[in-house]
Amino acid sequence: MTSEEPRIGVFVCKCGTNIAKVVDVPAVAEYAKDLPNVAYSGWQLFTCSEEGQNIIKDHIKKHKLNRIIVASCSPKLHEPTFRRTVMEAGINPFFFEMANIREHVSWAHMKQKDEYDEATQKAKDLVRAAVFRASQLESIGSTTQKVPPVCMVIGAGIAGITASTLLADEGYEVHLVERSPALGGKAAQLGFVFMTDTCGVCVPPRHGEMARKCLSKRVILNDPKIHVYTQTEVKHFGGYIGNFQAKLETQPRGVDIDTCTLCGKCIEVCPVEVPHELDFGFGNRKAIYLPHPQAVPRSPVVDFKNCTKCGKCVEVCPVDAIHLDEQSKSTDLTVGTAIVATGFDVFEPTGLYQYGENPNVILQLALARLMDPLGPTDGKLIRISDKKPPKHVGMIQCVGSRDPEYYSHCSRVCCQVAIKHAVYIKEHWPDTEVTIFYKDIRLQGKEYERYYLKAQKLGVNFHRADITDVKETPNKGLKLAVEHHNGDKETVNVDLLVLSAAMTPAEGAKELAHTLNMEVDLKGFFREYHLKLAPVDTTTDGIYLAGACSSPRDIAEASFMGAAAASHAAIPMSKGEVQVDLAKSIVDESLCIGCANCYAVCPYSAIYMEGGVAKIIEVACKGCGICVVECPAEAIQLRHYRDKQIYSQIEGLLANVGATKK
Amino acid sequence: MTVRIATMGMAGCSGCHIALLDTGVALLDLLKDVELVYSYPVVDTKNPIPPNIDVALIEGSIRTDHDQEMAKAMRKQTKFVIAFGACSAHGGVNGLANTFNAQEGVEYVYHKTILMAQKVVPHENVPQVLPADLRLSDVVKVDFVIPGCPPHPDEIAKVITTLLAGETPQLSKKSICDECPLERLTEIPDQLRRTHEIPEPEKCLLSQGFLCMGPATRAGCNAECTRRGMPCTGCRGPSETVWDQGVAMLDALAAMEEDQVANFKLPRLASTFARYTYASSKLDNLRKGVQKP
Repeated sequence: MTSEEPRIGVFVCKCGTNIAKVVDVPAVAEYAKDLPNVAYSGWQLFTCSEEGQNIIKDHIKKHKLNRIIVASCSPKLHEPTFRRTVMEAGINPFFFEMANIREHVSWAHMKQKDEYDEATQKAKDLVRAAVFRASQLESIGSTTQKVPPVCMVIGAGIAGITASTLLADEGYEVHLVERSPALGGKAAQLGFVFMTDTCGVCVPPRHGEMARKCLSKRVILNDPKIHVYTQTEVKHFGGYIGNFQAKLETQPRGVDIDTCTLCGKCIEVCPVEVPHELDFGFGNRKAIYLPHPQAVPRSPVVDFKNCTKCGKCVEVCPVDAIHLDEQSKSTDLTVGTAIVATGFDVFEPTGLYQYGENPNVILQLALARLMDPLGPTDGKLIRISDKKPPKHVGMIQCVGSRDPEYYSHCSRVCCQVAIKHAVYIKEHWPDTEVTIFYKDIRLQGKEYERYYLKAQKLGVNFHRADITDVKETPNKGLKLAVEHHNGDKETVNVDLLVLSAAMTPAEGAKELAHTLNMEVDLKGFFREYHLKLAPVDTTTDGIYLAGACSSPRDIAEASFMGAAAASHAAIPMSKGEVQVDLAKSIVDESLCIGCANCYAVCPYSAIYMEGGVAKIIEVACKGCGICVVECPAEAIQLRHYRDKQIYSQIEGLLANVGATKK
Repeated sequence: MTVRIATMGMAGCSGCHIALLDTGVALLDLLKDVELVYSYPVVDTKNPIPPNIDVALIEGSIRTDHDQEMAKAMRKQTKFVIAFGACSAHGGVNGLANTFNAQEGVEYVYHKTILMAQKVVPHENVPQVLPADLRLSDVVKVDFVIPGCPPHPDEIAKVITTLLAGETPQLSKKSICDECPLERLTEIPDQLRRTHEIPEPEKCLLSQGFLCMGPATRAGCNAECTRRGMPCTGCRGPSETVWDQGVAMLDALAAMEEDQVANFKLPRLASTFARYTYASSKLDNLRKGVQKP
């Protein structure tokens, strides 16, 4: 097909007035008629409409066109549309070429009326470049890749659990990998959560059930479709959609989950006490402990870092569930798709507002633990320094968030958390005064406003103010220098200061991104394929994002996103295969010198070395072209963007340079 | 029938002519069928160029208007013109002069160097320096190129023998690495090393950190330098598919990870990456804006 004489059809689009207001569209269409190999040229009002597409098909038949150019919007928008159109007319989709005369021309010059003539000229130049390139295009086929119905979910917080249970309900096999010893993520550590004031370990209802389920009811552990790996990290990850290879490393738990009855005897006898990482210095735990009261799996875990291996727990265990000589083990998985749901961490504001210096300056997470009926103080609100209930609780918002020095983003949940805690305090200890110092209150979400009004009604003080200074008072209280946004200044004394610290990327997120070969943004959150249109997709086919690993999110959003990621992951798995076009890099093995530069730079691990030459896994290749550029022997070419195709486009673009410049 | 051959020297060092002599015994065989009608080492070349030349080997780049005229005159009388050696093929080391302004260069030589005490730029009856160093193909149509600084004697002999047999010679399309016997390593060097340092024998020089231009350079020299532990300087110009020799190598280095490149100190980019090809490199074409005939 490539050898036949090119017969190019040019279709210039007015896009209503989007293009036509600036560019003289009929003149561009008229101009294109005289360009080399152009057999037809015309214009439409909306080329992308059903009608416009049919006109393309008609002209393909009438003029025996074999290369199609549409001069309209960005290829990002409608290239897939028109590729389908020409395919339906029996032409290889890679014989379609697009000239962007909207984003690159009419929109760019919309505001300068005196530039309209030049804009028309620019549109002509772009069409001419497309015509030159179209003559050089080649027919490109596609291949299929099988996708097994197996998904790996990394992170067992709200998002990961939602995705896992949905996928399992849809009949897919799920490998749920969690780094910590317990499921539920950060939400499970909270006594009660925003809006519903229920505990944080609810999971969505299973298929056919109306009521939500409690994570603690072992629904996930008992599901035959879900394989849970706690204390496990992904050590290696490679491959491509349909054939991802993962190597997991599981740290020893020391306790057999299935035989343990959670009688608690082992915890009683353990002689080692260390501070509980969950309790921010309130309480201690043993070296064998339950990660938190509602932890799932419901069995203690041995902290091998602090365990002295005295063996007392082994002696008292009535069911012989404890094995102190357990070793770490590794598991190899082959999965079709993967979902990353690694969540977030909380910013440590050490040095800010005397955090870390005064024990009565705490984080919201610590306050949540204090008020948790199952927490270290049995739900009593007391200060750490004197174990007395505070009379006045102050809360400072946006600590580390919306602050160019730390994290410029809004952490999304802090307003909700602070108001939830303020309401809880007011409801349980009405005499306690609560003051929230905020920059803006940002509460958008179903029923959120109602909660805000409730807080105001209960008498929570809302001060729109900055705290410019914090001083310690004799009783370990805090004296705040408050600068209101209206200019007023005052000092406020509080007994307990709670900081609403920023949500940050989870610890180790960058390393995981490196292992998975994924992109992170400047702050270290995982990067989605498109902020608005593809928030759960990533640049790697078959890997999806859920929850706060890509941006701060609240529980409701994390569960939406878990469901969205599950539905996206299910698409290739339900079809059982993916169609992959072959507009990918190809190696001329006779020129390849085996330097492995391409292998080293490929961001998608799509290249391997065999027999001294580079080979490309076409399914994994994304056609980014890095290998083409770095190859010192120039033995690699990218189909659809071969050197000759790009050069001819440039040649076309510059062909008239002398004529336009007078 | 004897074949009429001419050789000519432009801006060059006559090293290519010496390489022609270096073909050794092969030269004796060649001369049986050849008549050397014009060649400055052996014939008085002030005479006008004789007509009906079959093959002309032109050494050196085009540096002066005299070079330009002579090249055109030779083209008129010759059926098959060969750009002989790196200068003629790609501009050669001379091409690095294009990183300077030609006129300033001339003034520097005649005003500031000690030997030129009279401080006068000669202009009467001497050829004038062109604004930029050019390769032969910038001035006349070239039928074939024998690259190299100097060309490999075996290749010279092979090309001439092929021509005498009435066939079209072919250059290798591959790169030096294809002929290089050193063991390829896939690790990336942590620093660049200079040529006076001693490489590990039998191992790829590039992966040891020597800036070997082999990957981007056309094969055909039997990798004589690299097999003796001397990194390739790229005298044979870009291999068949390579767009621009220097850019290709720079791209290859730039594609490494940032922290690795950070250790690389690259001195004199032009003379490192485009030592023999600067005059024909894309960058120089952009810069000098010379109107090429």
